[in-house]
Amino acid sequence: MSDLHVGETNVTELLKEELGRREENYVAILQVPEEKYLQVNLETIKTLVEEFGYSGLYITIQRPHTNLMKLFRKQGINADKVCFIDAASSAAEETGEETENCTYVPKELNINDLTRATYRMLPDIKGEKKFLFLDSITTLMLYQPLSETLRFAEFLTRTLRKTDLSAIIMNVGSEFSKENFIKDIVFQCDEIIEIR
Amino acid sequence: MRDTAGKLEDELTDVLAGEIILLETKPEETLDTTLSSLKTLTSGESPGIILTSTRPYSKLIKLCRENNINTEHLSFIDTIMMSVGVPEKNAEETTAVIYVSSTSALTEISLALDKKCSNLGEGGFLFIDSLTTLLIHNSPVALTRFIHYTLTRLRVRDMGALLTTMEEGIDSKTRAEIVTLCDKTVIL
Repeated sequence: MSDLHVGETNVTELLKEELGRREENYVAILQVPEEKYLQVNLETIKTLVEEFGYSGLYITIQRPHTNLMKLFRKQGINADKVCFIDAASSAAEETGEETENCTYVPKELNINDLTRATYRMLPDIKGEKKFLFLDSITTLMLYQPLSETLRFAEFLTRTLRKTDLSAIIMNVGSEFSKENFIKDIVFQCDEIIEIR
Repeated sequence: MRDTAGKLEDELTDVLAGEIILLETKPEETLDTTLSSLKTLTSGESPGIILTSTRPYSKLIKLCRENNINTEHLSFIDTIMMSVGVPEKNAEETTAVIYVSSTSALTEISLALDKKCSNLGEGGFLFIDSLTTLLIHNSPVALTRFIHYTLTRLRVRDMGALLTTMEEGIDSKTRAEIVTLCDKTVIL
């Protein structure tokens, strides 16, 4: 498959460089132009799983995990290396049976439930190098007030940082990057990976 | 009817394959784009649901027929007729159309969509005309949640969708969130 480009940026190479230079235990914000959001997300997971051998937990608020798994297969990403908290299906009242690699939360997307689900799923991430990917913090804000959304962001950036996760990545559309609440979250991260 | 859909051929094929696409058009091209997109989407036998908040069902079906659009496999959700005070007896539900009380009755629209989707069988598509009009009657957060809810339910069913909006017809933040919820955005 050919490299992903956004404008003049070779996103594939950029992600390899940015995700590869950090050994462990970092928190990053991935800032993405909205029109390339899906492609960059997939390329990020592909880089982590296929290039660097990570396994991970994908907290999906945007789209159901079944849809993501299809997209992973199309992109040549080994879906067995990723488990899911499928909050999208929960919010749309389309939950299925819980499996070893997917759990759901109640449809209100309460932060306590999301936190509990995260702790529940973390031991299921196999392998030495582990990531957590949140998609997306701004979609969570459709369901929770700002204070609760920030509380979840803090859980990721402060509490989970102390676990054996090597990488915690949150994505945000470029349009939201100037919002004060995003700047607050960025302040708690180790780096911003900006795709222009 | 200009063949705007000629420019969209690949994208309309993707919709029929289960992708969800946001289409931004110039205001003066909205009707042409709607009609030519529908003509392409209905040229096979894929069943479709049209959620119309711009034109009432009676007008839209007339335009479809005038433009040789095959309506055999189409069904409609009309959010306008009852919201402008058309007497209920003139807005009776048929197998072709469900009338919803108002363009701001998003829960009712969701229930109507569920009903239509359950009758659809395999595959199919949803056409939303248009997000700009829906936003006149709903708050940005309510509309975005509705879109999120609807698109998730479509994805679970492997249904595609074409969402239309006018260029600069929605505020940048709402647009940004909706763009990220879709698989692709096309600007005509």
